[in-house]
Amino acid sequence: MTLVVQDLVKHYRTRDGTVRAVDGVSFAVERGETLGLVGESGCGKSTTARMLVRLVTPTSGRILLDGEDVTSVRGAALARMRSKVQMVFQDPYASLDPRLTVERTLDEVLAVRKVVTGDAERRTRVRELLEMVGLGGSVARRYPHQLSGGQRQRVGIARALAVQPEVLVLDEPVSALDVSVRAEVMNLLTRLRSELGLTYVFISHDLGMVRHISDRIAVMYLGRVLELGGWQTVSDAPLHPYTRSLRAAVPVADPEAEAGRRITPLAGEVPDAMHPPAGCRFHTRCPHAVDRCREDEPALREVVGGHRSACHFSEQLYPDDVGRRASV
Amino acid sequence: MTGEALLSVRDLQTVVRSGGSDVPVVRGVSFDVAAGEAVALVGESGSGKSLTALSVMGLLPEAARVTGGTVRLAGEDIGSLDEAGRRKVRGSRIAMIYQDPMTALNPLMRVGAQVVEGLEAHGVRGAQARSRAIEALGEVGLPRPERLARSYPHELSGGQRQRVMIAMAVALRPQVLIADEPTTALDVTIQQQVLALADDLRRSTGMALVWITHDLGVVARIAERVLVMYAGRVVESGVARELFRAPQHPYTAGLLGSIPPVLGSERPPLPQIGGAPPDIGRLPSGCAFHPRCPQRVATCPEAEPALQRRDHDLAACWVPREKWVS
Repeated sequence: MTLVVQDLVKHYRTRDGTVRAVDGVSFAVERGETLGLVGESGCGKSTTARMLVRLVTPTSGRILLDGEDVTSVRGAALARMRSKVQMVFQDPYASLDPRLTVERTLDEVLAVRKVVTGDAERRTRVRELLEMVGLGGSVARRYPHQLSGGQRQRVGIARALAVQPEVLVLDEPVSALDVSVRAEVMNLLTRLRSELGLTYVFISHDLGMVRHISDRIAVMYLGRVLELGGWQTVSDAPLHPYTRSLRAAVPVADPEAEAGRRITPLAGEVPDAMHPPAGCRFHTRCPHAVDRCREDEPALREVVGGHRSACHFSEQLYPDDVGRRASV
Repeated sequence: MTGEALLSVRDLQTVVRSGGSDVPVVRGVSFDVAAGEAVALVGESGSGKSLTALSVMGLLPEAARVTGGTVRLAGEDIGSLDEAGRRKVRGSRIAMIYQDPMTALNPLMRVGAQVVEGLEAHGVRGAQARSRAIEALGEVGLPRPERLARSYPHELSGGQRQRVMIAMAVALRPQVLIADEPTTALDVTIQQQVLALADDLRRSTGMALVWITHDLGVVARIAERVLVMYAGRVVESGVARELFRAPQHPYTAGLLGSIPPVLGSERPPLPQIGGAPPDIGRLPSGCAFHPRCPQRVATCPEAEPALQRRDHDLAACWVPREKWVS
């Protein structure tokens, strides 16, 4: 399964103007691969996620699933696409029906999507799904409000897996969970990926979690991808000033390391998506911006070894990081 | 320590009325904060960290009440003051900011007028209040404060609203600022600005800071001392550097261990604690953490350990760190 996104755009027309939520995003995810999408609020990562499962219809651009254009499919073709690509939401409480037991929730998906027929088979399949996500049979008869946050998220994952998808789009799957529960859900996702050969698009504002699970990472800002490359290079030696700032802003759980960091906070705020800045979208906050950045929007171009950056000056700003990798 | 403490909380007990009975939610919390010090109160949902802060402020919701303990500010027992006395202390000497600024801001009022109102409630009048309000908005890094003062809350970004709330809180130069997850809803780059601002204010004014959070990264960035709460109690407290380096309570150790490393090329499965924080109304017997604890011994389900000296800090655990199984 390859998932290819080409120049994806989602604009919302409002009374006050057009919000450019996603404004030309392209990437490809190979079978079995995990692509991390990271960025702050308003960067377009969640809208991108919703387009991938067609909860939101793109304004323009294409989504290809194994070569088939699914951008605007309907009816049976849409159902087929959704059996391959499923979404897991941030807040399982909001996405589970409070009146249905866990068992009924899963059973309903199996019945509606006709994954397995026959009551007995469905019951067996429900047990299997719960087991797969590490929930015992006793959870089956409970209602969402009787579950802990971690258990609810496991049910959310089981529900997504019920239709035997190949791709999971995970939208902030651990952000709403207690810190002590996040590791467990992350480990579950890692295990399921290898056991079931799943492909993930993992969306989060948390660079640490994205770094932990992704094969490649795309960094988004104001509806665009500013940097894209292997997980370790993007997170540890980024080639775009925005990613550098983002990384510096994330506090590290180590007081000694924190005391040694001399960080200048990134000035200002993310501009309004209705009026993105001309030129490079990051130039209003970039500590390195020069005239060219205000006029000429940099393309997402390969700087070194498959690592792409939408900055005119990646080589000049980070010569050591570029040089080291070019010589490998 | 008590002699130097600006804010001193002793054996604080708070209950919440629920289904006809009182559920203990803060169960004997004690801590001191010195002038100019930054202390973090860390915990997950249901740990009692926010209710501890609201108890200290005298701002508990209707269903909750303090049933025991003392709260002293510069030696004065503010916990036993009547509501008028408390109001006088709040804002002028101890102030609080929240996760959602809209809980503190009036949506129908210009933000400048709201800062002025807070000042007037404490006797600063007229032109003096107005100029102090503008000054406070400037101090928190808001650009063109005269103009911004005429805005309504909805016209501002989340980060700006958070700054306005901080300006309101610090306009009267309180001795203590309690911050309840004020950056949790903000983006990291804005969080970084707010953390830097709070740290600057603390250093320049000598204000003590009590920062409530679930984020250990935020703790590491802002706090000198840390209190870790679990199920309504402080389970560990100590100097941040020491506590992060060698946690003395298995819960603290578990939390720290479960965070993905920020460097390195290996990504093994994350050490996980297992289970979930308990329902505060149905706490396990003995040590509330025992069902999730990898260091559990026979005593743990039977008796709740008190905070006791362990190496460099205080921990409420029957098993000293050197006897832990790995």
